[in-house]
Amino acid sequence: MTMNSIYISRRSAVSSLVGITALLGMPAFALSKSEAEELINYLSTDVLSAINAKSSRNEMFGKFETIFSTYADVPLIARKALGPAWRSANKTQRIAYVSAFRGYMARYYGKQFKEFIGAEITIDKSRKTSGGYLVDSKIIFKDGSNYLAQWHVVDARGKFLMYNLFLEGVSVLSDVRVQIGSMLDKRGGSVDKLTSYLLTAG
Amino acid sequence: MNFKHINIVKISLLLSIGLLFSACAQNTPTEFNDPLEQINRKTHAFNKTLDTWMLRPAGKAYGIVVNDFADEIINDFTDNLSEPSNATNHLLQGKIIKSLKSTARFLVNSTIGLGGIIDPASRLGLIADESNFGETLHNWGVGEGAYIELPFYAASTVRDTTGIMVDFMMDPINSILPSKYRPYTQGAKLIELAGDRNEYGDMIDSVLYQNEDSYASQRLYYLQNRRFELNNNTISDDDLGNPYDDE
Repeated sequence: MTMNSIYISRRSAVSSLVGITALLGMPAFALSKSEAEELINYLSTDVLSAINAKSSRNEMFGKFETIFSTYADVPLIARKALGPAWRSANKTQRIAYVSAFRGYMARYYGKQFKEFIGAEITIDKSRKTSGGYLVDSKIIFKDGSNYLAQWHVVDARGKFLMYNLFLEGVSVLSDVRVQIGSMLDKRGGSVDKLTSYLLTAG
Repeated sequence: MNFKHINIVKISLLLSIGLLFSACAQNTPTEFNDPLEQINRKTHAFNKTLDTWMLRPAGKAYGIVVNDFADEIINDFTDNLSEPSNATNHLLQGKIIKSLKSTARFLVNSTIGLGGIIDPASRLGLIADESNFGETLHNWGVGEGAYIELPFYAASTVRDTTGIMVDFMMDPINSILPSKYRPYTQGAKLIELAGDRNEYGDMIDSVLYQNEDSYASQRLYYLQNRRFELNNNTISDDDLGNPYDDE
């Protein structure tokens, strides 16, 4: 059955989808390059409108947290940021940590917002990576200076989500890992103490 | 006998080069080659104090005293002084066109550009393209070597430090400009330093003063950015693996 026939009738569409998903080892939906770019387009539009809306700091951080949850794979990022300590943490600890991490990220990166007032983000091109795409964009600041921002978008089981961001080659995930690693070291490796610190840090 | 002797010299040379330039583990790109960390951290503390008491206030003062117009003049002037060095390094890397462009920029800006205080070359389509001997060494296949935080100078590597020293000693501007102008060119570069501190003020403040571990963050920013820049602005595939693979 060809892809075209999917559009012929609902019934044949359903049966062809069943057929496709039945093929083991093949993804149900192949996510496309344009979908990856679209995600970053929506994400950057939401971030910039949150920054340019004249709201209070806390309101803005709240918005960043929602954007982060919507567009990024937060549990994955949180886990990668924590490193080996993730494995020794139990389920309750993990859930508490991810939730605290979400707020920390929104505050830590959100507090740089002033730099981005009036900035624009344009999407240039993207290239395929093993689990997704790398979407290149340019952040153009109000003074005309511009920076290369590259978004690593990954296929999170049939849905595109942002995983990492490279600013002029510097990985934000590595940056977070340095911060979290240092916090954890200062607290004797205790994930619980780290989590309670993250609730207000950033 | 001679043969043996040469071999020993060669081997010890290779060994010392290998030790100095032992490239950072390529398959773990976020791991850094930092055997001097203990000393580096002391230097970092020193640099931070220096920034708090001298550079940061100098940057603030610059921001108050120097307007945008004067700032651009200072920028253009010091940028022009580095063009002969850029041209030389491009040439050493075999990039003839880039070398000619830097030379042309220097000639245009030093004359029509009134000694480099304005940048008409950019308007002629000759866009600045900086280089340094650290990049030349990279092009010659020399690995980055250990990370070093230099006093006064901040983040670097063995390769880039070698580059800084070579660029300083062999800067062609010194044979172009009579030595009596040296104090002015050096002075302009010092003022430019305060200008840069002012321009990137918030960014530097956030790295140095609002970070959990400013040493580790600075090392990360320097090394990843430098590798990216030397790699034709390309993120290495090692950093773009599928994050779900280890599940």
